[in-house]
Amino acid sequence: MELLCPWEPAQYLIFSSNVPPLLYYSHLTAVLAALIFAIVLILRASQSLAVKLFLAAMLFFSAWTILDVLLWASNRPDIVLFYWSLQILLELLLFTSVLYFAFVFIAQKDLQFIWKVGLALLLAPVLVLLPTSYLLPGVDVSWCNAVENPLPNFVFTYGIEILLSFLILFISFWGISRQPWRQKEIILFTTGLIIFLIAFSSGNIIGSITDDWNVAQTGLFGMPVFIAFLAYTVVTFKTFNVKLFATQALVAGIAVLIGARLFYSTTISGTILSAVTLAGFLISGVFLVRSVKREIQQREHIEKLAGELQETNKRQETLMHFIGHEVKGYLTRDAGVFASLVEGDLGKLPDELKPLVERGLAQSRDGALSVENILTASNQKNGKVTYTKAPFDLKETAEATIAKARPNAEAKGLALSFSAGFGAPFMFNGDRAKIGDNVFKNIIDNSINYTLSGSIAVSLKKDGDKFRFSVKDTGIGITDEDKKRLFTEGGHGKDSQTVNVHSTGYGLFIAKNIVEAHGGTIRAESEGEGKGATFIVEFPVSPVKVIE
Amino acid sequence: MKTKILYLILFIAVAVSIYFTYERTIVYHNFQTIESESDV
Repeated sequence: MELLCPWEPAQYLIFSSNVPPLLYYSHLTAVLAALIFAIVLILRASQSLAVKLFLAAMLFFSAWTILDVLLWASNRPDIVLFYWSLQILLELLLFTSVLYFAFVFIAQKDLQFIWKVGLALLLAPVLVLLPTSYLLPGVDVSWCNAVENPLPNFVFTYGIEILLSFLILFISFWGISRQPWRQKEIILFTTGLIIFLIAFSSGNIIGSITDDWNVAQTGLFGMPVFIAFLAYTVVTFKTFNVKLFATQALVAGIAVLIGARLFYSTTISGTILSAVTLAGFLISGVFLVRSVKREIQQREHIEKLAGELQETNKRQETLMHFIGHEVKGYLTRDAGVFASLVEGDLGKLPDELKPLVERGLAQSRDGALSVENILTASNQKNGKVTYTKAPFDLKETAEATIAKARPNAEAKGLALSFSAGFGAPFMFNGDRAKIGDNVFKNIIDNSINYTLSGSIAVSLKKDGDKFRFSVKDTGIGITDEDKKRLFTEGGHGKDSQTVNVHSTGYGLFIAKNIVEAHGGTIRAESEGEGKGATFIVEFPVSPVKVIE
Repeated sequence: MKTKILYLILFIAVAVSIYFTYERTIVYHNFQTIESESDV
């Protein structure tokens, strides 16, 4: 009668006293991790060659792992030797398919035919030798372990596995040098893969050398690690368009852990409890995955809308620029005509017509300035503004601006005063025109527009390492709520347009951008509504680097 | 097409190898059995 290994025959192929309990756990976890991930991927990207290859590799791995459980459980040497032989074949099929998968994943193209032939040829020695007694001459019936012929076994199986692992590393380095922008993705992918291959291979090699096959079980834990790395890579870099995997993997992982308890339960109540917990978890898991899926869809919808909005904004901006330039052109030409009439180029105007023409001139100029402000703000936002850097006197600029503003102030009956610190040089390195016309003028005009009666006091002084330009008025004041909007694009105070109907809301926004481009700050202080306001601009005394 | 032929050849080679291995091990029991020292 044939010799049998010293334990009872396997029940249901997988149960016998020779199987360590941990083995079910390590094998089940590895197979489920591999198969669940492969199936999820194939459902999402069935046309992808990389996914097909990954599925093939995971099927080879799962078959190897399931055979391993059968092998541990069986007490028949003939069956053990057959399973052992199949495992050797599956190991090589696993490594070759993993290499092929790694190449397609990294290079994002198919392997050349000649390389496929080369990979197939690596399998040839094992295919030929497996049915002979050259690789596996017999079985040690004390433990039901195959007796391996060390040298050929190492050369034709482990040697090839090591060679293929190095080839994967080489492909990875080659991939990074060709696609440096995918460096992180390739490194993560290869790290996970190599951890798995080393753990799997070294477990088997140590088992072969020491005949202690318990060590090989730990190698299987490399698979969940690889799946974790791959899942992270696939989700982070949107490979295969997978977005939901993290949640699904979490649910599946916890389900596996709960399900594994079924193997350990020794009592009926324990088994029922585990089964009920598993069922409950799976139901809640389905809801969790659905809810995450819904959130992802919403996020994608929002992202799509945001993209469309950005596109629309860009188009509107282009249109606004076009219209702005056109309108500014008409207004400037109108202002030219009015100016000619006022200056008498076309003869003396009748007295009753003169005020009308002067008002026309002023309004055309205001209109052109408003359009100019909007265009400037838009250019500032897009970084299209250039600044001319040159030393100039802030005091002179302030005085010139005040001189231009004075008629408007006087027309409203406002007292406009200016004071400057004595003896201090106010030389500053920057864009004189923009600081004069868009900062000083905007702030002073602003005060004139929003002061119904009283005075406006402009001052310039040197305060430590700063030049401080301030405009203090007795106007309508600024509420705390309005202060937040004051320097924003198109930002109006709550009631500002009832006082100044022509406000575009761009003046202070432009002023702020110019001041900040010169390394300065701008702020507004007010004790509240009806209590006046003070605008303070500060520039650094030392020359600053101006954005050119 | 070339790849398909290669896969077909590989599939046949694997199937034949598995078949002969099955014959060797399970049908003909063509292998040695040894009993190493053990405390079982």
